Amino acid sequence: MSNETISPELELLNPIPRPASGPFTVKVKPKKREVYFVDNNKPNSLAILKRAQAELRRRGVAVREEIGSKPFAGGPMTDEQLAELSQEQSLVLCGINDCGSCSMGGALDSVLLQRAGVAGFTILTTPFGDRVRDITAFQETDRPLPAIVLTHPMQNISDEELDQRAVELADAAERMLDGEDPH
Amino acid sequence: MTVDAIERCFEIGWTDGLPVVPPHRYLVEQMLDALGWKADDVIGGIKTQRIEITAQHLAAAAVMAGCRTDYARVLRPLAELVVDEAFNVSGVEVTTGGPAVLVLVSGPVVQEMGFAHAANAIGGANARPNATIGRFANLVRHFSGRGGGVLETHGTIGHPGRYSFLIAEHPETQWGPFHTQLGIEAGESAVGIMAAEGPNSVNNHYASEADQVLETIAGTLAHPGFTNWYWHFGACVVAIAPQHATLIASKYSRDEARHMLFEMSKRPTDELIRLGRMPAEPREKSKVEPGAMRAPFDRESQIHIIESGHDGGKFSAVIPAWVGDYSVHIKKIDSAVGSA
Repeated sequence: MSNETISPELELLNPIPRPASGPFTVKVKPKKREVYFVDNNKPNSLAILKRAQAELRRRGVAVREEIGSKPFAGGPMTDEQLAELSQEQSLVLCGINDCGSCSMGGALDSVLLQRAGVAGFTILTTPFGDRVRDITAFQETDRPLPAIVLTHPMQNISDEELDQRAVELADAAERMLDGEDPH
Repeated sequence: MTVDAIERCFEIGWTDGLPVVPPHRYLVEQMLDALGWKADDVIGGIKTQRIEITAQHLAAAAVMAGCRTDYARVLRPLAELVVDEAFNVSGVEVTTGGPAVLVLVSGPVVQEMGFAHAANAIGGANARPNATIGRFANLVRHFSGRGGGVLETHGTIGHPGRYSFLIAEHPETQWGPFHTQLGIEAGESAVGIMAAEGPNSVNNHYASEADQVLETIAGTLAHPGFTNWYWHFGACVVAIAPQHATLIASKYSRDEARHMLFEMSKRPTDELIRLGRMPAEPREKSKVEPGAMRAPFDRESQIHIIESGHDGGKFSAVIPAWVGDYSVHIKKIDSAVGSA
């Protein structure tokens, strides 16, 4: 069937809203060589972030003592939180997003932070590793927006496995402080 | 030509997996007229995704679901609820939780528009208003929640309600209309939504006392796999069929019944910890207290009772909310919409 052969009233009208384009430049390297974690309150997220803090300190990397908190994981951060984080000079890493809705929210967080001029990124787990690529499909960026992707799962794992996730995160954060891709 | 158009919709992904009524311009324009909207009116959106959801998108979905134009007075507030930022339609669509948009209709509109509210009323009534309006809400979820079609949905198991899930309440109830629990006057009609998991049936045929039925329902709310144990509290709808409702109402008001369900659904926190239902490092908001009893709700008002279902059997149903939804979202129905 082709629209050229049918009357206008039989034209099919699209039910799917599309995102508007909105170019932005990806900033990987932060202005200040320091890591700032923001926790989304998912189970074990804070545990991994704290261990990553300790690991980064052990390596001599500056990491903020305070860990930010996102009250609702299932969507993007609030306008108030974005306004606050927009002042950040550090590398802002938000997570850890290990489910369908929180990975979507986290991917949006990184877009919002980047638009605000912050080197902000989301931390995902492997099944959700394509979320940032998907959420930016209709955007125009100078390069793909990176995301940190950790081994899944994170909610029912041993202390040893928590440490392993923290090392993965610390490795990625160090690379990003140098302006490199996390993986 | 019509079959070609249906197939074309399949080819371009304009479907929930079932055949749709093709959204031909003339049908969509008729729906827009009934809804009282212009095609480019922005009804809602997802600001952070730079998405605007227009009246034309929604009218097209209503046509595709098989809705009649005289359903407009329900469709309009329903559409506004689904695309309101507060509902988080993108989260609902892509989450691992796999919820549907549960639609709840109550008040005089149930009889006026011919909603089925007796046989198989908990989402399975083979009646056009129930099936198509429920489908409309879920088509909007599917079309609008996927970031323009690129976001993969991660529902782990999902449930059949994702095609259509609507419950209409009996016009005559034991405790007054459903919507009075949510601040809308008894004489009005209302439509509500909740991101919902599938229904759990509650069977109790031998009980002779209200407390026995309530304890049975509470036991279904409190089963170890109930979503609300997952790191914070949540909501639910309890659909009570006539025989259970009559028995419970012989002793308790609706608020008393909600209180009883809240109290009776408590489980030992330690047991939930043993089962792995509590996180190792719970956040403060989760209020995890080892040694204490724990309800799956933060407050009694998160239990929403609706009276629906056929007389004869002694069944009710429990419908858990998605973990990211904490209440029913509701709007009054304006009888003037679509009446011109």
